[in-house]
Amino acid sequence: MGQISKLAFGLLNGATWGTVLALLSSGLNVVFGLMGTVNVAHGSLYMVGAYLAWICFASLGSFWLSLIVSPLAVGLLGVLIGLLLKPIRKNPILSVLGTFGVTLVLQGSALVLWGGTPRRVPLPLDSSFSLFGTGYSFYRIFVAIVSGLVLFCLWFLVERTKFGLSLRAAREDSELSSAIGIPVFTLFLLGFGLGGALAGVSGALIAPLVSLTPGMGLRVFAIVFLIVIVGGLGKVWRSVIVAISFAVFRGLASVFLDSTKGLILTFFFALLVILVNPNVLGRRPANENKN
Amino acid sequence: MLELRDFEVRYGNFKAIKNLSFSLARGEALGLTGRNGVGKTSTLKGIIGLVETRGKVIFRGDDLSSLEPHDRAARGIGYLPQEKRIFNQLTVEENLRLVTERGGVARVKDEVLDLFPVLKGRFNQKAGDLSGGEQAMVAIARLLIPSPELLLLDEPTEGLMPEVEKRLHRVLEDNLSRNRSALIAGQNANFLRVLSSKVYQLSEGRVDRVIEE
Repeated sequence: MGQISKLAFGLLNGATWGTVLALLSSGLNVVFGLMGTVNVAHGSLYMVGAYLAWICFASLGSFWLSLIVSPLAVGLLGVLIGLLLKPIRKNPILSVLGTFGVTLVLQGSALVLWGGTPRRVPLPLDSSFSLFGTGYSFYRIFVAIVSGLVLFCLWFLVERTKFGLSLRAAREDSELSSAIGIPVFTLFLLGFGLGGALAGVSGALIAPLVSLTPGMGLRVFAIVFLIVIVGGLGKVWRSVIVAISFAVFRGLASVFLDSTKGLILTFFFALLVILVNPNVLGRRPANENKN
Repeated sequence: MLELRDFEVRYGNFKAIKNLSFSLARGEALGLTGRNGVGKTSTLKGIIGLVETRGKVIFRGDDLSSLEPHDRAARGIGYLPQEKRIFNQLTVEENLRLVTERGGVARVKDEVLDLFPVLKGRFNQKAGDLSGGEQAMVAIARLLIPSPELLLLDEPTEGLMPEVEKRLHRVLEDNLSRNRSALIAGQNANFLRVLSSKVYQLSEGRVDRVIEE
């Protein structure tokens, strides 16, 4: 493979993975904004979304169905987690512990239900196109396009609708929101549902490109959490940019070095960003979650 | 319009307000005064439902004690918090849209400009970038847009320029003349006495003295 071909592969793979990471980090940030703390179960919701894609393929014979089933089912699961956290939602430490408990339950359930053997979903689009003489799967382009469309819908929902406006208001000052007539707890549940739906669709999209194991969610969560930290907790759009930059950097480093060295170099780069600008660790939306 | 019966506000074991009972008629304004920490803000927060309370909060014949704050607001209670908090990260227009019915933004903008012409050209600006006085105008506009039956005002004149204070005074008089009611907490004795039929002076969570006009 020539240098230009490697460069193109690195960029495209990075962009594809980056848009999925952007979806995941946006979901994590939406919930963070409402809860004031990190939903550790977010990675496990992604894992459930991916397994649902495998079930749709293996049991119903259609992977495509999972692009509807996964966001809906995982979104509903997100709402249930929100309901479960109701008594402790105002305590950030208990909320982190609570969502960590949910992670363990989901991971353990996946192990019991589907076993520890890695599962695979075949590529639903097996055609490819030539990229500097080497075949490149159309499905990866499909993933980038769908993720981009979902991100656009999320932007529209958050920035252009009354629901999104209420969500942003509640994120900034939940007590004041409540006092002017915004049903903050309902928003909290819908935010969990939205975060879950984003994790679910990410898992379904990525399922044909990776091996599915019960531990896949926790591994991805570590990366998404790092992205959200570098982008700034609660800053949805900044984390989208960081996610894509992170994945493109990793994609390029992986094709020019190797996958492990690429990941180490990417984490080193992220660490450098945090060291150069330590304020990123303290970024939080103003006046958030007083209620 | 509003009646408090054996009303208490608690923060854990601490009682900020003890056995407060009074009623407020339609078109009437009452004042709550006293030094800092006597429970004026707690009373208003308790009525809107932001803090734990005991006793009854009866509004237009219904007991609101078990309702969430957003349900109380939906029933016609408007709350202007201390320091006239607004959403700093949202634009001025977005702050107003939060309390505006669908399609009513243009009408609301005209009403706001009638009241506070200085906000002209500021609707697309982040509310946090406005001066303190302009932020107060946004908070007052946000309070008045849904036309609440009962206004809860916490230190409404604090930090206001005299001209804006006079305008607020006129707006409140106009609201009272339209059979709306107001409960005003503050230390601006002149403002309270002119608008209110009675002023309750609080001390250590209880009514210490009632000043009738």
